[in-house]
Amino acid sequence: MNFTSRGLLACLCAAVPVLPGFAQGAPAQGPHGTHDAGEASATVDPESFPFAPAALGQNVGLQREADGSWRAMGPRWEVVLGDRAIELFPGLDVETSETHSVRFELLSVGRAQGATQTATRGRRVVRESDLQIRYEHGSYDEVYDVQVEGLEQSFEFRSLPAGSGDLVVRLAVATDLLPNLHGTTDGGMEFGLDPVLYSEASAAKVGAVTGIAADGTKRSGSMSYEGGVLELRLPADFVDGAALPLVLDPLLGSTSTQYSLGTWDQRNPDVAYDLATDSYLVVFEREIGTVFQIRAQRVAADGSLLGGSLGVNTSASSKFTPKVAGIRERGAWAVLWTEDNKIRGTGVGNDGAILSGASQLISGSTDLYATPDIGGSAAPIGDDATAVFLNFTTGDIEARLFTIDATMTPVVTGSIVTISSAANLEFAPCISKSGGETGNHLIVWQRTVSGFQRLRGAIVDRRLNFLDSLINITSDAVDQFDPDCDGDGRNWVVAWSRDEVADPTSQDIYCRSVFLNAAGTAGVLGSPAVGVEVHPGDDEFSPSVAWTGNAVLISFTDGESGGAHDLYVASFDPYSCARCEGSEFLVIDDAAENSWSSIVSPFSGGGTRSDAFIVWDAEDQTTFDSLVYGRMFVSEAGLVDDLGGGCGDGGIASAACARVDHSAFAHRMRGAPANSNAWLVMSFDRLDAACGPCALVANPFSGFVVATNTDPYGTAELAMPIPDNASLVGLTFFDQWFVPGAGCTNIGMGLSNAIQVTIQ
Amino acid sequence: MNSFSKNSLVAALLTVAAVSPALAQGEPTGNPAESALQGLRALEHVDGQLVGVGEAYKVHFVGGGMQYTPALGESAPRNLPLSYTFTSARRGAVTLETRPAGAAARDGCVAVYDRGSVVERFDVRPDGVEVTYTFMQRPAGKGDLVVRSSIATELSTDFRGETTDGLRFLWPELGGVSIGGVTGIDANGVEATGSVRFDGTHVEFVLPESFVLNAAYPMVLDPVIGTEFSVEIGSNVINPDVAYDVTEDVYLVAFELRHSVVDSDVIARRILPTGAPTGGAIMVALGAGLQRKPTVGNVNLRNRFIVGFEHGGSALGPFDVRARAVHAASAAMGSSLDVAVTAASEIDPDLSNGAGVLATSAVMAWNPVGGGIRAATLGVAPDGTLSIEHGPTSVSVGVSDAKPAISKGGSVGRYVVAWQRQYPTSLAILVRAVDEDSVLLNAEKLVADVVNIDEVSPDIDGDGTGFVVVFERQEGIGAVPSGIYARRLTWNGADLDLAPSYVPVRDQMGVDERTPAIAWCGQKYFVAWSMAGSPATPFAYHIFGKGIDPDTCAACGPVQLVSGGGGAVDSNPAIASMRSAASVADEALTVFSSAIAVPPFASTIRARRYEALIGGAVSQVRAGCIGGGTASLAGLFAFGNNVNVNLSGADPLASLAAVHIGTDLSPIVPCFSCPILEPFVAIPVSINNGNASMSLSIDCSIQLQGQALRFQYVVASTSTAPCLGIPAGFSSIVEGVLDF
Repeated sequence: MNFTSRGLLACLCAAVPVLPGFAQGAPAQGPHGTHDAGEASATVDPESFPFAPAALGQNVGLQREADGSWRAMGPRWEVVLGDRAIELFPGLDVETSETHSVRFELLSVGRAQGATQTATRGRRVVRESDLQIRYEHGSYDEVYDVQVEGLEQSFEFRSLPAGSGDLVVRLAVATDLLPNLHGTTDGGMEFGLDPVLYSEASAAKVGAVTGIAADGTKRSGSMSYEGGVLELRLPADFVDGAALPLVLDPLLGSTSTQYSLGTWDQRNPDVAYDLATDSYLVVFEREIGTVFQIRAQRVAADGSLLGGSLGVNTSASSKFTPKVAGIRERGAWAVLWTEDNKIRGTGVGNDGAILSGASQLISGSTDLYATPDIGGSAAPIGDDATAVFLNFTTGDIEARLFTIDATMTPVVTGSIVTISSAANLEFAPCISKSGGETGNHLIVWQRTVSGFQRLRGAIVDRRLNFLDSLINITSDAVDQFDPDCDGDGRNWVVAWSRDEVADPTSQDIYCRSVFLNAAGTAGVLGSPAVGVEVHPGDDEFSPSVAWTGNAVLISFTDGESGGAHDLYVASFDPYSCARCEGSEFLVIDDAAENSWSSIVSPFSGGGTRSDAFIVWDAEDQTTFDSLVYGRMFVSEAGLVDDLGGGCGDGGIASAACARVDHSAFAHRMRGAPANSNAWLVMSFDRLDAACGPCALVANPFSGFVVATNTDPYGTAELAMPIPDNASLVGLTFFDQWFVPGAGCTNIGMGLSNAIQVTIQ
Repeated sequence: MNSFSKNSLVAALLTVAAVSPALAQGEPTGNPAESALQGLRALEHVDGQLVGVGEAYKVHFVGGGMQYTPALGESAPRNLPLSYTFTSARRGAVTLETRPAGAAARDGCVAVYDRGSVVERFDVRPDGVEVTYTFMQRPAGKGDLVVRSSIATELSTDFRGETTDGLRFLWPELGGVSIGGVTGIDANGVEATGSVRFDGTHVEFVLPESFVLNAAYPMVLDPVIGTEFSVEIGSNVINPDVAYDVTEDVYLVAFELRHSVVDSDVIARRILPTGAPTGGAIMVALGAGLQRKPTVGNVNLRNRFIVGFEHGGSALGPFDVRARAVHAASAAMGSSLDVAVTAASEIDPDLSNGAGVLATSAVMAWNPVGGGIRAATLGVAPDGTLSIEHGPTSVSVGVSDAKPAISKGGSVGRYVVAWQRQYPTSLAILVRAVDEDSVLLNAEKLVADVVNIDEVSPDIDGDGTGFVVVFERQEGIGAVPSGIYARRLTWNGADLDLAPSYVPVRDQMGVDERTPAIAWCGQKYFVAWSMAGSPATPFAYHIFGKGIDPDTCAACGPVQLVSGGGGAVDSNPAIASMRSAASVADEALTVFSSAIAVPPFASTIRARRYEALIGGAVSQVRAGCIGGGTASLAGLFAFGNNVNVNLSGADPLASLAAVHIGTDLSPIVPCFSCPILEPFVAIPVSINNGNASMSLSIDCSIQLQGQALRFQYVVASTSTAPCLGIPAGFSSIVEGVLDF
């Protein structure tokens, strides 16, 4: 039995072990994914993945901190630029129990013979877009440029200091690391761990000094280190003849070149979408020394990185399990995490601005909390996100609204709502990624019943009022856990891991649909539990769900025979959980441990595109370094456009998986009166005739009219297998339903919305 | 209107040509009725009653009203008449004073009840009775003008309330009587659409106050009562098409019978020109899957129709195109032919007729989805076996090309295919000519391509040299309603010349007109389309039609309500003209789907006849004097027609003559025994043995409807001088009244 969930593990650990790391490039895409014996071959379809896996956590960044200082960030280093000094946090390739840093404070600038100028910081000029901070000192500027390799420090002299001899810059150094230089060198120096204890440890590095004249002439300088003072020196003959401005240019970094691509670990990514900028925000944990911070990176739809790396919250304490959701109305993302066993959060604007320096406490302040998740708002109006989390003290599943208000300030609103209370028996809550048009969310969690993990659900509206407080999603006597879900505010799909009965050390992935009845008073199971990936003896786990509007996509991790794990994605009918696009698609197949994926679609932000962004962490099985990657998946599960036109009792028309060779295709309607006559109109042209407030878009006089009845839940479904014929690709038809009742009063009928379905 | 201005208008109306002496003895160039009933109308006193007959009805004028009996065929259990009796006319709250009518008076084919302030006229036309109420002056009162009549019939209608679309009284599975929409026409020809109310026993024709107030009087209120017959009754019969066979004088109407979303068949029925079905249902394509969207063409020498259709296993496709021959007399069928069968979908077949009476093949156009438009010549062997004689030929290769239509008729073996294509901003209409062997004759040509405006759903017909394409055109960018437009094409020997622009056939802003069909009827084209009905009856569509001028595409006939009114949804019209099937007759049959406007939208196939030429009354105004002979008019005195002004019995020695043309306002001067018509134009013609003839082409100046023209021959005599010694004889004066 697998009792633990991913979020629980992360929360209860004070720190994830930091292991030696080496260079790790982008994982190679497997030519063809190979499942374990007995599984069908996976599909690698280049058209389904517009770009190769992209490393998302290796970017640099520069951002202002709440105390007015600036933080420069690289993949393997960070520097805090304060009023008087800069403090370098180098990446160390070995596990230590403390966070180490090197603090540099400018003491003086001058010629070897002559009066030195005591350094006092002048005006600070920040050019964020150029990743540069410049301090103006009068005759010279102290400049910091953020680069992947480190922070390049330079001194630009518009005029030479008075006096003669070498040009000398002196810095006071404070560090708990050991210098490897005592004396003078023409090269650089490092500050590292005790070599006796850590023989191969990397260190903070100060690169060799170089002088660069305005005409491009260069000369190497020297540096010396004695008694906590670092002295950078350019020879007098070069200085005296140099064309001004003259630049003195060392590099402060964390590593020497042979391991410059090393990194701090990045783990546990989550992702959300923003419609206004058609971009995603990926959040993840990143190790900084012994501390885990929440980093974020904006990513465009084409996979390119937007702006720099973002430190979502850079306070000293460690933070884990970041979750993110989009709030369409605000053009912003709500981000939350676990910190000191509390749930805290903030916001990120779609321009990359961190909306609040101080994080908001979302959970209570006294109990212990863990495993948060957050659902956003895809509606044009509505600024609430809904946070769910486990109260580890009481064992309850709780929720609270977390808003980004009109002033773009993250605000906790309302009080904590107990979603489910069963002391010490409930775990791992998740919530749908958006509330669709309605703002309704499905919340799902694990509950221990009769010794087995089962899944329970509740439906809440946008104000956290219950529409259904308890839905038994699974009830059989086998452990089922680690759920994820998404939906459109009326319909949802839940996916989860399920222990194999014969081999409880292996799990399969299952899914099930849930919908809200027509009265909006109860959740209804829309399908049986359907196997997403079921292979006896093979381990599949960590499902993530994205509702695209045309299908539902489920990503999951699948064990390789060699011990590593690959990542797959597959599309499903969101109403029946029937497979949509044949076999699954291989997202990544290499020697790394690719796991803990999260997938999100533009639909979750109010968009309509049928793609989805998948993020995951990949751990090198040799170095155990972990990086966060992302890849776009383009689903071709048919196109469904809502044309409106419905009114009264007409219900809501829907269709999914309009693909050739899809034998399970069906025309559907939900939300109509129960046990009523209903007629589907399916046509290949439009009528566009008005009837009261309704508009009849589908043409019943040239198309098909099929009579049926709604069930006790107000749903109707008519199967129509789509043949296996490529010529049907691009075929478009229109669906609309008639139901007796209010709406088009002249004929006593309600009309559903019309949908336009295009076969792919 | 004074005589001068009238004469000016008449002069513009007429195209006059002298006729060769040989023709002078022959038949008029107007269209003789080939069908036994074609053009039939009569009104006579029989046993003291005034009785009229048209092509599909008879009518008795008794009891101050009219009893209209539709000819519903041998399946009708008994006569099913509809009695219609005027009861009152009012304007607002003021009831007009009327007097009880006695027996109806006869005026040619018109029965007249003079009710004082309003004259009630029943024009017995081949296709129905046109009822008009003429108000000589503005009625007293305020408000709408309402004419109220009682209705009594076994035929039924569910409609109660008010509509602009007319009424339909039906007997199940047979057909019935339609009462068309109401039009007000003032003395200046200004028209206004009125409405019809029905409460179960009384029908009211209503004209809006705004029109009544501003109309020039006399003003006419003008509904039409006619026979509409059912081709097929069922809960799901749709998509009809029709063709005509001249040898057997029979139409074949094919349609789709839907059993379910995965099973439909193509059925056909033979229909006589009277509208009566003959023989049973013909099972053209049965079996598993969907057989749908039939198209019908005629191959006269083989005495057969060809029925093309789509065949597929699923509502989504893919579809193939197949065809089958049906004998026009026996309904015997040959084997089904696979015309286009690939793994992809081939859809929307459309068939021409064969080229002339000796045709043994017809051309089919269809759309291989994503592969342009193709055409092939389907040959019919004497035993009815179908084969692909020529082709397929790629008429176009545009991936978005769709909805092909091919012209039906002509004896020269030249057809034009029209279709729609998606351009970057909108859909456009293109055409290309092919011969009877499916050989391409020219490059494709754009007929309609307005940026951001969709032009779709073309239909086309022509005689092999002249063609007219009709299509839907969006009213504006992004607009839902469409109008119906037409453009003339002329074969110049090497290419198709396009008329400078396309013109509206019907485009009432804010009202949707769609799915046009067109047929060449000899002197004019008949265009039918489906038009959205009153907003009070949701989804209601009705079939309207009108004749258009073959040269200008301007109106050459009134807009007529082809289908019945009420809340029905009449759609997808198709027309077969006799002319396009090698006949010289001018009649056509329009078929269409007619559905109820609520689920499950049960639909039937209905049909209505169309007579291109009806013509106005012709009468002798004055007798001639010695040597002048008798003038007469041969041919229907109708817009768009050619008639002959004939002379007979004149001085056989005369060698010179002239035709005097005047109007009913032109003075007639007596000269001893001779009446002399003062003409506004005199045209010399040759005379031979006392006979002469002059061809007269009446163009489509329909604003002159009701105008009387008078003709008299003046013969240069060598033997007599009855008028003051003038050596001339004067013929009788014959009058024709211009009408459709």
